[in-house]
Amino acid sequence: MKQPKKGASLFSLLPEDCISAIISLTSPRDACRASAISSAFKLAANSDIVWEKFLPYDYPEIISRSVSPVVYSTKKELYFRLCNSPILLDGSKLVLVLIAVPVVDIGTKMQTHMLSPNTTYAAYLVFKLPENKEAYEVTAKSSVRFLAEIQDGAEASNNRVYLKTATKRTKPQNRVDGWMEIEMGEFKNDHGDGGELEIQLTDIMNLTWFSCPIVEGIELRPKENHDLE
Amino acid sequence: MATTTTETKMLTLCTSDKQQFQIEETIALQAVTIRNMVEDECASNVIPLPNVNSKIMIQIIEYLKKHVDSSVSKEDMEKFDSAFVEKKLSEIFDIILAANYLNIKNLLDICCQRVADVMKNKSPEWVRRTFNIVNDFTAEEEAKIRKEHEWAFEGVDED
Repeated sequence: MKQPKKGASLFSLLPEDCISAIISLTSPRDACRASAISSAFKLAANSDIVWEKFLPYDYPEIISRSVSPVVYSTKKELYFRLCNSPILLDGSKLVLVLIAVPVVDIGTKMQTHMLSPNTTYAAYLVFKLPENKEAYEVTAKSSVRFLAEIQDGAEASNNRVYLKTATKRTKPQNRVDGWMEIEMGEFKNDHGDGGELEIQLTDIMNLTWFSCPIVEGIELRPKENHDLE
Repeated sequence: MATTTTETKMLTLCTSDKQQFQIEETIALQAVTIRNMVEDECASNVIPLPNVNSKIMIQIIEYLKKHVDSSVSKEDMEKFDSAFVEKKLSEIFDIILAANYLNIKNLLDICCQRVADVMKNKSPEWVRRTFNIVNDFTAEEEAKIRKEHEWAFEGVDED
């Protein structure tokens, strides 16, 4: 490890914006830890410069499509608001849980009263994979089920999904917004107002640090004409 | 190109330690601060750069000369950039300050990335020790921040 000069900290030379720029090139976890280093770091790590970088680049559009207004005073607050609770977009058609960080496992729970009753939905993982020539196939297990079913002892469905593959037919699709998506599973929203859904993505295989997927979120969309087939 | 002339226009940059550097204008104008000075004509022949010393200027010119060359492939440029930031951290910090002042975005980005990579997945104690940062929080303040972001402190690298 290279040692800095003795005496004053190298960081004390830098303006706050430069410290923020450095922290913005780490991760949300690193930024939260950086806020515990010193009061100067806390200011820099909580700044909008940092959290703007962690939000999906199209977040203004996402927020503008939200059915209920998304209120926030800082970008950091907005980031955690979007991470911690799903927001409803475009009048009950679409629900998005935002994550927007490299992930190893995803698990989220949501209330289904936000969705149209007795409608079959599919959950889509919206993600990007960093370029990595070594990982020619990246797979994971996905499961979409109601909590009531878990309590009844039902086995997780555990679909195998292919985040990257050259051979399988179930390839991820390119979206117009620049992300890719893959279906994680489907469910019929027939558990009434109190229904709670659990969506999981686990066991990501061929996971090197470089092929860790960046997940924008999980989108739920009604399966069109599903019941007519 | 239409702008090609037989005579290359030169600019003289004067650093804080009064060293003068004659470089082609096209190279120097990649620095937005220098471009603005030239466009506003507030600089005559010699552009004073009181916030940059000659040692750092030499390295910045090396960087700018490479990046003005459009014949360099993207791959070679990335190789150059990653070799360029293989310097002592104290030098990287000096270049960050200069790149911030001169407004050279790419250079600022790669140097900030170099520091960010050092800090990734490290504990606050490690960062304080490595960079001589004084912890100016009271024990209560620090405990409060840690509690707010408990999840972020799990699984960091061993000190």
